[in-house]
Amino acid sequence: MSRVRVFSEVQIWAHKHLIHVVGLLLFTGLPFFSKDLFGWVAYVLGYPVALFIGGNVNSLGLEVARWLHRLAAIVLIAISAVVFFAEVPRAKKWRIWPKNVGREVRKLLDYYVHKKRVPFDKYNIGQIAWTWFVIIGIAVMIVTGLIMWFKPSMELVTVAHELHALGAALFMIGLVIHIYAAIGIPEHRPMVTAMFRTGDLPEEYLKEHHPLYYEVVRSERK
Amino acid sequence: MLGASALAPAIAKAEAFEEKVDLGSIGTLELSKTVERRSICMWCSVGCGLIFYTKGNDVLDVEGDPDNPLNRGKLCVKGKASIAMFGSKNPLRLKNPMIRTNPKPDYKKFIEMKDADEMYNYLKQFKPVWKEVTWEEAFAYISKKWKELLKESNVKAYHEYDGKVCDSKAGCYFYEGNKYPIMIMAGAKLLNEEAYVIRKMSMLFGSNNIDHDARRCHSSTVAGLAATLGFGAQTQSFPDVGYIAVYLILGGNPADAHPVSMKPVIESKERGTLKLVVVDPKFGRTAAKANLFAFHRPGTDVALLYYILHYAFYEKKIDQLEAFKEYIKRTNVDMEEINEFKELVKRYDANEVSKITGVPVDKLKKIAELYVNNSGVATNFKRFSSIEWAMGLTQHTTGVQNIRAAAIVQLALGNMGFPGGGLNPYRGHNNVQGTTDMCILAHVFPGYIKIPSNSKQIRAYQEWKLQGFPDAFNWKPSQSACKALGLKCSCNGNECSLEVNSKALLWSWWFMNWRRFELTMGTFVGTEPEDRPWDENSKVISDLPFFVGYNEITYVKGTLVDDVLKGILLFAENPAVSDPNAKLTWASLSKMKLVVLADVFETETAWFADVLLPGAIQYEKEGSITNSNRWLQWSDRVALPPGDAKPDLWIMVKLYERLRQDGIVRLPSEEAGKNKEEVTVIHPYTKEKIVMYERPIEPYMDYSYPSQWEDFSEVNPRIVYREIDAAVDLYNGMYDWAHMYPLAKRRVAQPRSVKEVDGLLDSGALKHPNTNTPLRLYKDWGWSWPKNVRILYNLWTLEKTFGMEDYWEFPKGKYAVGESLDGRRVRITGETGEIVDSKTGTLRPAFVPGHNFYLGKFYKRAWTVYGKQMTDLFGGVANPSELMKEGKSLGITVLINKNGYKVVKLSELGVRYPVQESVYYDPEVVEKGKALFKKPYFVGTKVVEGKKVKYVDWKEWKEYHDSFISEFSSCVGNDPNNYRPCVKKFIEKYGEWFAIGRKGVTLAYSLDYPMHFEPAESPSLELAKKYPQIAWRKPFNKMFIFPPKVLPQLGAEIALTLGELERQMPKDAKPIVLTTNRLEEHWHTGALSRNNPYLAELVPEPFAHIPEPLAKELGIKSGDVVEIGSARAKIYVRAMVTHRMPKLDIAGETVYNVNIPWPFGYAGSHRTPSVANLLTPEVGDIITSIQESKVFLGWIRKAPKDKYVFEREAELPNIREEGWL
Amino acid sequence: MEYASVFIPDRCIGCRACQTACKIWNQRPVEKTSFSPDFTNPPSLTPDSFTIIKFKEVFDGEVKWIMLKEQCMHCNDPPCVSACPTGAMTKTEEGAVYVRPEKCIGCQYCVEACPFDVPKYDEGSGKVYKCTMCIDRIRDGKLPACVEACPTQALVFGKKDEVIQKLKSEGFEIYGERLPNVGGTHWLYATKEFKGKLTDPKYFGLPESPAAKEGALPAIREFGVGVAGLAILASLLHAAYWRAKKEESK
Repeated sequence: MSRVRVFSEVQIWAHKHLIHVVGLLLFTGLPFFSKDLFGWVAYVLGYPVALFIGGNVNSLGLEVARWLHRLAAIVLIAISAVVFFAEVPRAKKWRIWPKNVGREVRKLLDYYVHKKRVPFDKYNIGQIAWTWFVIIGIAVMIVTGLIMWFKPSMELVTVAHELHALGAALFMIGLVIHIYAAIGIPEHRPMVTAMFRTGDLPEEYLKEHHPLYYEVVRSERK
Repeated sequence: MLGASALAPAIAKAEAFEEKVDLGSIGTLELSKTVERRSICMWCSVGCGLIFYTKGNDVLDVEGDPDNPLNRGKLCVKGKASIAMFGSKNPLRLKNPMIRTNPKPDYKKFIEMKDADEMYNYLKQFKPVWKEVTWEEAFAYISKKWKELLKESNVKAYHEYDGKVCDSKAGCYFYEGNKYPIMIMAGAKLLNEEAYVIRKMSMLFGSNNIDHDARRCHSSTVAGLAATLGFGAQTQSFPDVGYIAVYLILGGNPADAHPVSMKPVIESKERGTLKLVVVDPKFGRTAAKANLFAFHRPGTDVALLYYILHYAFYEKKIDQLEAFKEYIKRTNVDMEEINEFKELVKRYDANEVSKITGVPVDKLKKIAELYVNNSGVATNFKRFSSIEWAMGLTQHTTGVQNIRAAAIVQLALGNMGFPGGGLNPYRGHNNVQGTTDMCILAHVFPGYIKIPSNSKQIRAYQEWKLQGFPDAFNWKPSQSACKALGLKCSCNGNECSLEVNSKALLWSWWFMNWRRFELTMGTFVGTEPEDRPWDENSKVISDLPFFVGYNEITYVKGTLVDDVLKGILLFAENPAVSDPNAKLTWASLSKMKLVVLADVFETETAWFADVLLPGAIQYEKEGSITNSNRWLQWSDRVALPPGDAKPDLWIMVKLYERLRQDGIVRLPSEEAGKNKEEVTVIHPYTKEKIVMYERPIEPYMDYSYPSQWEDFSEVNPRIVYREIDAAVDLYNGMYDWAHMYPLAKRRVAQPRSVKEVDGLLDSGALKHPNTNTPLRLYKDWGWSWPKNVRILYNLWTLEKTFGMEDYWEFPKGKYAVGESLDGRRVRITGETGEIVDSKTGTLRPAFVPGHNFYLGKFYKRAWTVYGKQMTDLFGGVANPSELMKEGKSLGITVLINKNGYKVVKLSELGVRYPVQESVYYDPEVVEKGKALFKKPYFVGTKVVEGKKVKYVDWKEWKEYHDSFISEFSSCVGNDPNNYRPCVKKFIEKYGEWFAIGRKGVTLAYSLDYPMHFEPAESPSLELAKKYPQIAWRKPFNKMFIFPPKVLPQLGAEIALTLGELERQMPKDAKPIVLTTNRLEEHWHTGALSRNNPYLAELVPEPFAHIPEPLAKELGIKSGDVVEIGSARAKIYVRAMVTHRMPKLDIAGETVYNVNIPWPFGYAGSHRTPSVANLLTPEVGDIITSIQESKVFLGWIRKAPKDKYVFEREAELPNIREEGWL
Repeated sequence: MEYASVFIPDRCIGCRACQTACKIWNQRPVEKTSFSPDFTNPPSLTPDSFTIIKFKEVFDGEVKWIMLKEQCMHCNDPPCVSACPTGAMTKTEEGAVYVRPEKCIGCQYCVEACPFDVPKYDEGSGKVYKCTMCIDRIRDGKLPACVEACPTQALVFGKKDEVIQKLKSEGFEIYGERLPNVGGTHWLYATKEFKGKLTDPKYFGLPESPAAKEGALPAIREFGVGVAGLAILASLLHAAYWRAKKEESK
């Protein structure tokens, strides 16, 4: 069975590391996000450090969390830059420009709720929305994060702080859905394999789940 | 997961719950391991108690002393900031003696310059370069130079017969105190012991060229009050201020200058028992709290005060009140004088005063009404109004007149000598009252004692000694003595009977003090041989230097014009910033060949010094301090001075020892070869000579006495304290010789029981009728002069305010009191004061029945009751050291009867503590002290500039006054440029100013009553003609009218009219009336406060208060740089544009007042060349020569930013470089 | 036991002993200030000046000069404490709100949160500093350093209820007893002379209603965590549904 290439090496690489980075960002961000619910994170991070240098476990943990968060943010910026330079030249081939949104949303509902077979393009509208959310979201998080780090003015910091928190909240929600859609639905497993390892999908899968794109791929082959 | 997240707040909570906050765990000041040391605040004169928390030599914290009734645990910002003055905290403190190695600036240069920046640029080239030396080297250097200068000036003790000053054919031995080439200036921050020793040193040098800050701050208060009432001091105390009903603050700003003194004011104001009335040219912190405020033009205070009296006499008609009539009789106020005076006051009606002062008529009336209706006579002595002032009233050419006017207001309204009533000059430095009492002054000796001016006075004194040191009541002066002293005697041959008037009483008081000086200082004043005082062949010897010397104001003349002063010895003074017309000071200091300065920082004056000696701040030494309301408190040592720095007392005594050793200190008696005195009395009946004992003459200056500190063991202030008690009558009683205990150390704030001396007044049992709060005097807190009196002139309080009676028993023979009190039960009507009785060693009343004006000066002697028994003071002192260190004297007296005498031990008479006892006061003495409405400052006739001048009192002068004014006015016409020639013309024509020629003689006003005189630089020609300045009568001031050849510039240094100033003024500038002032955050010249980071942080830069409408006209905004100029110089400061400065309407013209704080200078950690005193005029009060720095003319305009110079030292500790800036 | 300090402008003479007393007790360094056009110096609170006296001139024909002490208000419900992630900002049972420097990580969330603009961040140490109400002194039975110094009783300290009751019975108008968003403060302002003027912007200008400066943050936090939780729940439900559908279609 022939396979169709859907993800580039760069994309696979970037996605993999994004997971590390975002995971770290999320984890280290949590105690700042809500000290009542995630205060324990600070203790988890602070305790080992406190063993060596002593001091207040909570504050140390937060200090560690903050620096890890900032380090992760630098890595995130780096990854973003790589992706940016790798992807922009082939922007034409991105199939993430949404059109006919209403119909696409209905298609999405048909697929997930009514479990019908629906003609999706390479990405369905949910995936497109997620992609855009991630692109804009990361940009916003980086900008607001830098503002909070370097504090040009306290008024700006206050706004940035709120945006950053809002971004974090949305990311948390989005990630839940994203991860569920990827691994919570058994039929989507080949995509996981593609995203993490091979970068290609069996033609069969493509035909089944993204028939419109399958048509495109086929016509290109000819 | 959820479980863990729920745990987090629980953990945090548990931690917070367990969290302990220990004292100091946040602020990091741990006090539990510190030692508490008590001291008295080093800044202003309130006398707040401090508690320092120390650890070794380090000082951690400072708090107010909660026991001290003056501050009750509270402090102002300066008190708090004291902590940054210690050597351990302040790296700018001087640590080693230093000698200058580079040249000093050329004095002539300064005189030519008129721009502060230009002067600074020149001065900077001569910034001193120092070489660190040891104390020994420093003293050797000073001694060598000193000797050279003495030689150059040809100072000599021997004077030949001249018939005027010296009337002895055998010659006279004394120093001319005004010719000594080395001036001494010793600051008012010195302790009493230091002040006494420095004045004593000058007396031993033979110099009266010595003066201190008080000349420039409250000399007019002292002269004005003492001449009117007896003493020149605050009559109330700070706690007593709380009982006042209406407090008029005129020319003072206690919230700025004495913040803690506002405590009782604010409390009483809120209670509703005190109305605060503020009249000021600047709306300051005090004004912000006033019930009634008015802007007035500076220099018009007499007019304002006279309006109050105008209202009292002509609208309220107080002289018809029964209370008034009773009061003046009781307190010896002269009704005749009042009637005479009333006529003068009549001229000052509301319209005229409003025209002069700029205060609207209705406001004037409101003030007067409030003030008079709450006065003693209007309320039958239940409520009292009181006046507070400071530099706003004193620093005028009319300073003495202002204070006299205030005193007269209080006298007339019956506000004197009651709790809640009186006069409150708040003094500046913490110990300026004490240093004034110790008389670091050119015109008096310690305790305000007269300086002799001719040999006849010395002869009269010798005669007085031979009579057994009598008081005025027992004195039988010879005809010669009566003549020499100007006493009223009726003589039959040489048998005279003396009329006991104030003059006689004062002379006997002065003589008694001269004797105190002789005995305690080991000197001699008298004739040789001693038993022939009037023999023209007997030598006259006086170790007391003659003649009034140069003072803080006139010394520039002594240096620059007269060329008498060639060196200067400065202790804790900064005249380069504090003296008026600063460039003359800079020139004088540059010209002097030896400038020795002892201070704690390298001040502006240090830039002119040849030798710089590191002194100690007050907390690094120990001694007594007299606060503004005359309380002596003891200030303990908190820490040691840094490095090799030493207490000033140590420096003085060691320097003296060196000078003495090098033969520089030589007493006239030594020159005359007199080395012992035979203390002799001539028997009043048999005329037999009774030699009581022999006394060696050798200057006494040994204060070594064991102490826990080495420097105190060498020079122990406690020994000096005892000497002051013995030497200075004013302070006698402050040491308890019975228990060898300094009473200044007492710290009991609890009430006295009613049975004790003044117990009723201090028990709290009496409630003040105004406040309905318990009356307290705090008699056991420290000690107060005179004789521990807390309310001066308190004769009638018990009787009148409280309707109470009190009695005291003097069982026969129990107490050492005179005949008129012994064995009697006496009625007490006011505060009696107290002394330690020399028989019982317990306290007994001093002034009975209370005390009236002049008490303390007017006295009777207990042990020289003529014809019965007599003793030299203290029962005979042959050895001062024994007296000071062991409290011992010979303890002998002579019992006299008609035919013979017997020398007996005082102890046989039951007298155990001779030092404590010499005087007593009884009703007869009370009767003698009269308050003076009328006090002529110029008396008799004299020949001035070849013209015969007769000084006449107002009674006579009023006939000529108006013709003098009209003659002068018509001379001036309407041309301001005529003013100066007319003043000149008058002086040349009549020989005297404020005078007019009549019947072949010049009649001149004696100045017996104050009048409004326009400031030397008046903004209104109309008023300057009507009320011409009187200052041109003073010889010193005449320099500016008839400039000396060496300093022709002086002729243009005072702008007599606005027209004269406008000729010098830039075109785009506006004329203004200027005043200078201090700031709450800074201390006088700023030498201490600008180097104190906490204080400098609050106000780092120099500025001027500028009225808003004026700023608008000139386009000036807050923060802009402005040029402010006067006829003397111009300076550049920042502008503080504010509505707190007035725009006044004066005689139809608009007058703007601008105010410049003066605590800024070019040295230290916050620097500017713009010394405000470059602008102020040197012209002085006609009596005390205090300068007129509170009102003068100037101009203002916007200046380019680069003209403003402000530099800052980064060296200061604890300063954050970055931060919010 | 709750305590309160009161500033009574009627009695303040602007001597600034409080300002320096605070600095000395708390060992804060002196700052390089410059000319102040109205005496207020430093012109606002800083990490080294926990309290300042603000001077204000009011002119309406006659001039008035008023002094206002600024420092931490020590709120009942301090927004800074809830904003502080480390627990460095602590409120004690006495009512004092203070920063434990050893716990502070300098995130400045408290700076953002404070409606009175009080906590100040210090670049040098990377920590936030502010008035501690001298909790260490209070617990030792001493007055707060500023109150202890004040020479004219313009600062009063005591048990909050008692102080309020006493001042009210003396006819004082009190600011800070109850305030929106912060629930009242432990630093109060009381006046007889300036009644109605404490919140007048021409005079003292104390905020009538201290702004809730935390803005949307608490809402965002709740929204984020809540919706993410909902999303997980929805995912689980969907998984079950999906599988059921799958079974059904088989």
